[in-house]
Amino acid sequence: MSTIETSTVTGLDTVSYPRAARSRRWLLPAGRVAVPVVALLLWLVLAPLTELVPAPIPTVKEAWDGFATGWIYPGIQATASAVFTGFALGTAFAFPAGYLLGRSRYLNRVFEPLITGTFAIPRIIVYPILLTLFGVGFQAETGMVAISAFFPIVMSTAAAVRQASRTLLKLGRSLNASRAQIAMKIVIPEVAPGIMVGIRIGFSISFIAAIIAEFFAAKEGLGLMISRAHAGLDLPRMYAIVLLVMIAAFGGNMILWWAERRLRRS
Amino acid sequence: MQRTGVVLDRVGVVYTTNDGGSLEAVRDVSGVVADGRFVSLIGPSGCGKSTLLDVVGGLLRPARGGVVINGEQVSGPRRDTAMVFQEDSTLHWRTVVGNVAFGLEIAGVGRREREARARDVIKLVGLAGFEDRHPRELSGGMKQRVAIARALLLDPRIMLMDEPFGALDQQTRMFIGRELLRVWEETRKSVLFVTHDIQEAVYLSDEVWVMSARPSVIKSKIAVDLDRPRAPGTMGSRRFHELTSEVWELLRVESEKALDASGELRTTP
Ligand SMILES: Nc1ncnc2c1ncn2[C@@H]1O[C@H](COP(=O)(O)OP(=O)(O)OP(=O)(O)O)[C@@H](O)[C@H]1O
Ligand SMILES: [Mg+2]
Repeated sequence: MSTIETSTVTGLDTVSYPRAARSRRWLLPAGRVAVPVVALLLWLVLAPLTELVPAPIPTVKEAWDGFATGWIYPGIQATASAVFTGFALGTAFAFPAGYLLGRSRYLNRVFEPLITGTFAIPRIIVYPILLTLFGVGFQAETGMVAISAFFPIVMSTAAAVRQASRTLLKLGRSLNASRAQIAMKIVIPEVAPGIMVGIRIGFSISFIAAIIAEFFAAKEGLGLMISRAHAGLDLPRMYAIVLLVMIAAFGGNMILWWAERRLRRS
Repeated sequence: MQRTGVVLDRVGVVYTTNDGGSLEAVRDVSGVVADGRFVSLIGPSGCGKSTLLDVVGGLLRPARGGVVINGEQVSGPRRDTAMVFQEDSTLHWRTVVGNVAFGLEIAGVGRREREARARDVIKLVGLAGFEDRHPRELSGGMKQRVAIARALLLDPRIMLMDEPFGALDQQTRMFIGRELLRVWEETRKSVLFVTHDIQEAVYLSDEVWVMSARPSVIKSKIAVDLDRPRAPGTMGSRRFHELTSEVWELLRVESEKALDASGELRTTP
């Protein structure tokens, strides 16, 4: 009799868990909204304490003006085209290279130490070389972005592909699947979430690389605008561009993150 | 030499281990799976049953000997041979239909045709109503039936099945085993079936090959002279019990050897 009672109690307990979760469903979105709101409030409250930080309102107004009068567009255009072209270029090399490294034991053993070692080198070190090769401008910056995106993507693609199930590979072979079929119909869909992690990190790093390269030497771009505003002590403008870059990077990453989670679920 | 069926001719397999050493998995296995026959392989864990199936399926090149199917030396995977693997081999991102049709898709059959045919086979293995589900929504036994359906859809002459019911409880495996027999009686493919369940082996097969511990040889081939079609009543018959105890006795000795070799059964010094 007592065992039955215990199991009944346990049964009720397990039923009540999801109900509790449902009643606090607002908790997650509320928490997510609260973080930026609190940050903004802190900014509002603390900004007047120092002259080195402009208040939120002039900053946002300056950003708004950037679009209204159009001074920001050349910067956005230059940075965005370097980020997207460089990222696409880096991915175009890194993805197939990562796939081959993940599939071939031999290639992996030859290249892994090389890539892991090179990964530790700060990538910005090659920028002066690119500048001497291409001159200041779009090409050097795009090259910098491509090189920066290459490493995280090649490494995580190789790692993801290496995780492909032995059994599924055996299945592919037993069906006489071609190399391309094994890649497209077995390995890539199987490890897609892992590959997406690398792509997402590669994208973030592309953005970082473009801005840093523009701090260093560029003809146009948001990074250059930030350093000019900084030099001219135009703090609202500096803050406005920093804010825009943050929002853009955040938004881009969120889209990729969302895509990654969708892949993981399917 | 026999022209039809699967002929294993003194097959020996040696693996190269990761540390560069070698491991003899299969020493010397010969035998014939005649056309349309159901043969079970039974033997202690690690004796080389999966290895042998890989060799017959053309996935693994033996160190010695070879396999001849319908008069042709096996040198790679063949169109008339289909495999069901020991581990889950469903593609988790595809539905049941997409999984079952996968073999035909690789072979280049058009979408409409392969999916229509997949739906028929799905009914045959008792998965009707689950066509559009994903593997994560299926039980272990249902996933194995997906793998069996995928193999059946290729309409092979030879099926190589590696413990397809390994993950199931006794009642379910008997039930699905009976379903498999029903399908087999309709299609009469040659089957090489790995199992570690003695009753299942005897119940399903025309012949049971008992393998020794690694490095393995075939210790004995037992002809199962029970009438077909087999019915649940078969299992109550005297002959069934004689056959199972015969297999059991052969296997007991080998399993002890296998455990002894791995040092797990060393009770006396
Ligand atoms: N790829 C491999 N490399 C090295 N050794 C292997 C490899 N695959 C299997 N072996 C070894 O070969 C032997 C036979 O393995 P196999 O998988 O064929 O056994 P099995 O009879 O199918 O066992 P089980 O009943 O547990 O599935 C084992 O000792 C195993 O360790
Ligand atoms: Mg096995």
